[in-house]
Order: sequence, then C-alpha cells, then structure tokens
Amino acid sequence: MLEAHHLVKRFYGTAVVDDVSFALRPGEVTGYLGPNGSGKTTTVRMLTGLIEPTSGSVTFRGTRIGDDLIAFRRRLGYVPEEPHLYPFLSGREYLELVGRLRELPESLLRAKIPAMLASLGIGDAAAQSIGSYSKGMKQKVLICAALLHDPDLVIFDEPESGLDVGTALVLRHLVRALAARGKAILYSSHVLESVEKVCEKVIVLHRGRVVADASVQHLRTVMARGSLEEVFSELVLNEDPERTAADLATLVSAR
Amino acid sequence: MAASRTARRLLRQHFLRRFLDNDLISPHTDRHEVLVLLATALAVSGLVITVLFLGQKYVIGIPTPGLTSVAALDDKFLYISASMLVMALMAAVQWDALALDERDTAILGTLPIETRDIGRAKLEALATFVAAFAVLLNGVPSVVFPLLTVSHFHVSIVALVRMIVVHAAVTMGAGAYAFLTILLLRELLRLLLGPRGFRRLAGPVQAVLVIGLGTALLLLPAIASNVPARWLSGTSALRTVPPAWFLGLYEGGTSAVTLTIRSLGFAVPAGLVVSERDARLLYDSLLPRFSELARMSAIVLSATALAALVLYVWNNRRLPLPPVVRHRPHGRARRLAARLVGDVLVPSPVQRAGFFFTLRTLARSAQHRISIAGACAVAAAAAILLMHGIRAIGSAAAAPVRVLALQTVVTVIVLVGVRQALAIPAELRANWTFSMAWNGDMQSFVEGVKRAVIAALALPLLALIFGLHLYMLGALAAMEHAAAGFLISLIAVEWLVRPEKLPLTCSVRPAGNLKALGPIYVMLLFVVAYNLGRLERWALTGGLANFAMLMGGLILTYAAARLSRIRRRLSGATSTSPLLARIEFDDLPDAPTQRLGLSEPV
Repeated sequence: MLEAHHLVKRFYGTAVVDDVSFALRPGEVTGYLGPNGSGKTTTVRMLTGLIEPTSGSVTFRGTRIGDDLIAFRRRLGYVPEEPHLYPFLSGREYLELVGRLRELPESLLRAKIPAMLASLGIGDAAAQSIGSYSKGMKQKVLICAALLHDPDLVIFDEPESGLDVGTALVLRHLVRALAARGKAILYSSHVLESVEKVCEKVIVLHRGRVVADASVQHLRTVMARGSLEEVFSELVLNEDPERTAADLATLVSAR
Repeated sequence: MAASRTARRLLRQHFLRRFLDNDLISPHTDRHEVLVLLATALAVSGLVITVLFLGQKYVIGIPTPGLTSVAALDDKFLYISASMLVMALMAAVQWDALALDERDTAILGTLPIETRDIGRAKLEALATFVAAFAVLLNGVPSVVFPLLTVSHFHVSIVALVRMIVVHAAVTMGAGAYAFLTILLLRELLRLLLGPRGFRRLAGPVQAVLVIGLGTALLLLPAIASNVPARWLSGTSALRTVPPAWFLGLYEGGTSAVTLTIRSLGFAVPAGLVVSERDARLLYDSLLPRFSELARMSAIVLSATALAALVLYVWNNRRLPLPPVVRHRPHGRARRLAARLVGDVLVPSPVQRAGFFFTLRTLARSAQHRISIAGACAVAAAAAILLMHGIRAIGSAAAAPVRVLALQTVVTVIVLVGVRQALAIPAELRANWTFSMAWNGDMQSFVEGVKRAVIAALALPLLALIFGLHLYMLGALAAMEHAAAGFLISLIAVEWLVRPEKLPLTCSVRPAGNLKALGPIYVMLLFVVAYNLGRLERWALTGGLANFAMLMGGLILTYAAARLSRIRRRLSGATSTSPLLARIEFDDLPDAPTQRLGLSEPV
C-alpha cells in the first residue's frame, strides 16, 4: 500500500535518514524501531508528506504521494510524536475542526466524536479546553483525530507516550483490530514490549540506516535471542546497558 | 539564606524575560530585538512629541512667565494622562503575565524553592518591569519639557533640576498609580470570582480595558486642552479625574519656581500686558486648589499601592492550580442554534470549519482578541469625534453627513482590525493539523471565515450603531440606514478579507508600505464614507430614491462578491488549483542566528 524507496534526508549536509526502503501492506502492523536520533520521526514525516526527502520517494498505491498529496492524506491517519494542538479549543471542538476539514458529514461527527472520546475515557473532559489537558489526554485526542475518517493507512509515532496502562492496552488491541480490517499500520515506538505484541514485522533503524527488516519471529530465530529486546540490544546498542547504568549511578552520586 | 537569594535572583530574571517573551508580544522572535524596539519606540515617541509639537510653542510662541505657567498646565496634564493611559494599557496587554499562572506551577512547583520566594521574585520582576517601562516612557520628556518652559527666563541650576525631578516623579507616579489600579482590579476580580470565574471573565475584561484605554489615549490631545477652565474650575469634577490630582502634585512641587521667575521682573511686551496679568491672576487663584489635589494624589496612590500589594500577596500565597471544569452538556437552545447555523449559514463542512475556527480563535486567543480590541478602540475614538456636539435630530433629511458617515467609518476600521487578526496564526505548532486534514478547498474555508466575521463582529456592531441612530434619527430612518450599513459591511468584508494564504494558519504581511499609504487609506475612507453619507441622506428623503439606493447597494454587493471570485480565479486560486492544494502552512520561523546568515553556506 505504502512504499518508501531509497529515502535520504540530509540536514546541513548530514544524512539523518540514509537509503531507507520498506513497504507497508494492508492488514499488517509494521513496527519501526531505533534509538533516539536514529531517524524514525524524520522518516515518518517524509512518509506523511510533512517534509520532502532529499532523494528517494514515497508511493501510495503506486503513485508518488507528492503528485496528489491531498488524495493521499484523505486516506492517511497520523498520530504525531509531539501533541501540538490548539490550546483554546476543547477536545470536541478540535475533533469537529478536523472532521469538517476532512468533509465528514455533521451527523457522523455528532455520533462519532462523543463516542470515541468516551471510549478512551475523556468523555467528561470533552468540553474542557485542551490547554488544561494532561499529556495522555492530548494523546487520546490525537488518536481520535487520526482515526475519525476511517483511514486506510495509519502511522503511529510514539502513540503510547503519556497514556495510562489501561489505555495503552486498549490501543494495542485497537491496532490489531484495525489491521484485521485491512488497514496498513506503521507503529513507531520505543516500547519494545508493545511492538513485540502488536507487530508482525519490524524495521530497525540505526544511525539513519535500516539494520533489520523482518518478522519478529524470524529475527528472534536468526539472531538466536529470546526476545525482541535482546535482538534490539544486539543490533543497535554498542555498549553494555548494565555497565552504562552503573557508570551513570556513579556520576549521580559524585559530589 | 544566600541560596534563597540566588534562587530569587534567577527567578526574577526568568519572570522578566517572560514579560518580553510572553505569548502576546513575541512567541518566537528574538527577545533582544523586541527589547530594543520597545525601548526605542517609548523613548523616541516622548522626544518627538516634546520637541516637534511643544518646542515651537514655548521657544517662539509664549514669551512671558504668566502665560507660560498657564499654558504649561495643558501640557503637564497631557504628559500625566499619557503616562497613566500608556501604563494602564501596558498592564491590560500584559494581563495574563501579571501574576503567577499554572505554567509557573508546572515548571517551578517541583523545584525545592519556597512558594513565598517564587511570589516575591514575581513581584520584584513586575516592579522592575514597571519601573523600566515608566523611565523609558517619561525619561526624555522629563528633561526636555522643563528646559523648554524656562527657555526665555533666567533660572538657577537648582531650580531647573527641581523641575526635572518633579516632572519625572509626578509622571512616573501617575503611571504607577494607573498600573496599580489595573493590577488591583485584576486581583480583586480573582479574589471575588475564584479561579474558574476569573478564567471565564478575564478575556472579556481585558478586551474592554484595551478598548476603553485605547480610545482615551487616542482622544487625549482633544481632552487635554484648556485644562484650567475645563478640569480645574468648579468643584464637582475635580475629585473624579485622576490626572488632575497629579497635576496638583506637579504644581505643588514647582509653583515656587514659577513664582520666583515671575518675581525677577521680566519685561512683558506691551501687547501682552493684559493677557499676562489675567494669566497670573488665574494661576494664583488655582494655587490653593493645587495643594488640595496634591493631597488627594498622595492618598490615592498610597491606598491603591497598599490594596494592590495586599491582594497580590494574598492571591499568590499558593501556586495556582488549573481549575477543575465540570462538563456541562449544551442546552437545547444552544444545540438548536448550532444546528441552525450549520444548516443555513454555513452548509458545507469546510465552510463550517472556517466559521467555527474563526469564531473560537478570535474570541479565545489573547493575540487576536487584543488585535480586534485595538481596532475597536480606534473605531470608538473616531465615533466620538464624529458625534461630538450632536444631539437627537429626528429625521434623516436633517442629519449632518458625519452622523450618516459614522457607520461606514466604524465598520471599516473594525474590519481592518479583523483583517490584521486573521493574518496572525492561531498556534504555529498546531498547523500540522491543517497540513494533514487540508482538502485544498480554500474558497469554502475563506467563505466560512467571512461569514463568521459578519455574524460575530459586523452584525453586533451594526446593532450597536442602530441603537444610537434609533435615538437620533427615528425608527424608520435608523432601520434603512442599518440595512445600508449591512450591505456596506458585506462589500467591506469581500474587499478586506481576501487572503492570499489560509487565514489563522499563515502570517500574511499586508501589501505595500503602510507608513506611506496609511494616511492615504484613512483619507480615502473618510472621503468614501462622507460621500456615501450624502448619497444616503438623499436616498432617505423619498420612496423612489430609497428604492434606487437599495437596488444600487444590492448590485454593488453582488459585484463585489463576483469580483472577488474572478480575482481568485485569475490568480489560480480555485478550489481545485494545485497551487492552493499545496499551501505551505507557516511553520516556526528560523532561529535568530540563521537570520544573520551565520549558518548559511558561503
């Protein structure tokens, strides 16, 4: 459904994303992993058309997304990493704005918005201004906004950030349920446990390059590791985490 | 103790930066640039007014001590009033930053600093900011104005220094009093209404203050004339006009110098002997009143300062927490109104998005609210000047043209303010929402914006003016005049709200040089408004003329809407245009260092 072809993004001559290629298929949840600064969010922004790649291209159903960005975004749902919203709007008003910009019928908005907000546990805060929301509440509004128009492709960038345990569990099941309905999903996260449980396939990014692109099971078997966490450590961590932690603890205690 | 002092010093710096870097003045620009521009604007405006407008009056125009002492009362009243109004306006604009808020609680609440120290640091920062502002505003005139007033006379250095010190102390004291009054009002509202009520009322109160103070500031040159006769004679008005109290304090401090100059035996030109004698008599008769007013100023300044300080300390004894808002489902009437608006006024979803987003942004965003309040202040000042001296007329045929021109002038000024407000992004960081959900139909979105402007601003404004005209012209003429006003506002909206980029998401700089073209636009507005007024007066006299006027208005409105559409089509700005489908929504501006080109490739 969505394909990234040799994506490169350079900032001031430095390649943040370097020759990244992969494909997202309907009914499949793809995990996107990598340490901080590995280029995950930059890739996601190129996939959504928010920034242009330096070279390479992104195609949706065989057409470059830049050729008809609006048509592409009509079928895209996106949960960004940073919950930047209009602070003077309430959660309900924000979702109404998004729904109206997406030309959804008013009757559908009237039915969907309160129900979605209530499902995620913020029905009572629907009329409060977003400025008074916690990070988790903003994240819930973002999830509703991304799914309001029933997209074919959903990109989650750190969706569990700020969510309580219950909602995080709901989200995992929701992702699986959406995939079962034929949607293609990219799930970028630091929470390896979630990725392991939710995704069929993972792409691991390190210093802007893809270092692994395979199913979770395949990676575990090939690398002879018991969990995704161990596979991830093997692929991208150059230092022993235990030793780094011990060094840091020593620094903390220094006077 | 030392640690607490260091923390307070750091906090004071942090709070001071917030005054310059708050959401209102410059969300993302260079703080130093804002500081330099603000300081320059304040200092230069004082210098320009003093030297350009008053220099000639004192150096050439008034050569005798008695006439100078009386004429100077007008200018001293002007300086005192200007200082008060500007300081009060600054307090109203900084309304949200005057006290600790929830953001301070989130950032500072978890640090090991006493709440008392945080409150004290905020108060010290506030005092520093107010003092710096007052010095910048009044510093230059404090030196130049006394020099001008004694330019013809022999005055000792000590006396001159005394005049300079008194001018500085009185104008700054008056400014401080005005600032403290606004602070007192804010803290009183906070105490009486509680956090939830205060939050609800703060925005409207701020807008009303900006409109009232802005109007008074614009009308000040007209108000501050003939002060001895208007403000100082009689007894009733005296105690209610704060600038008069501080004028009393001013004269209390400098009257000795004035009397000394007179006693030096200045040779009065023959033609001015009578005027000089009358002026001296008038000044002498006011001397006892000055001391009474001076006492009043000292009492009100101390009482206001004490009350503001006590309330401020009391309200800030705890860090504020976000108020818990109870969810209340909308009533049936509100649901029905929303449905009606949706179905009739803005039938398409994108129009509805533009309509409601505009209404909510203009009402709830401080930047947009103040922008429109500023325009309302200009409109109110223009309306007062146009209506000056006019009473009920009874019929449209007898109405002066300026009465009929008022509606056009006021509506267009407010709509120009709206145009400026629409060019301010609602929240740059949230623009990704539009980028992701945008369907390319700019025409529908802008149509929604225009209808919001008409429904929320033009119609209430016309209703307000209708009330005035109902009293002045009678019911029928007022209704016909309001109908004409509605058509004019439709044309003005078509003409003024024609953004090249998406309103409230992209900053759009107005085309052309406003400094050069501004006066021409103002003149043009008055010429058009007066001619429309003449035309309307003719139309309101007879049935056929009335009908012709109505038809003409309708044709013009239709032509303006068609012209607007044709212009959009010619510029390629149709709903299916690839140009608009790919609007570059404004993102955060580059960092200041990049503007200097330091990081660009050579």
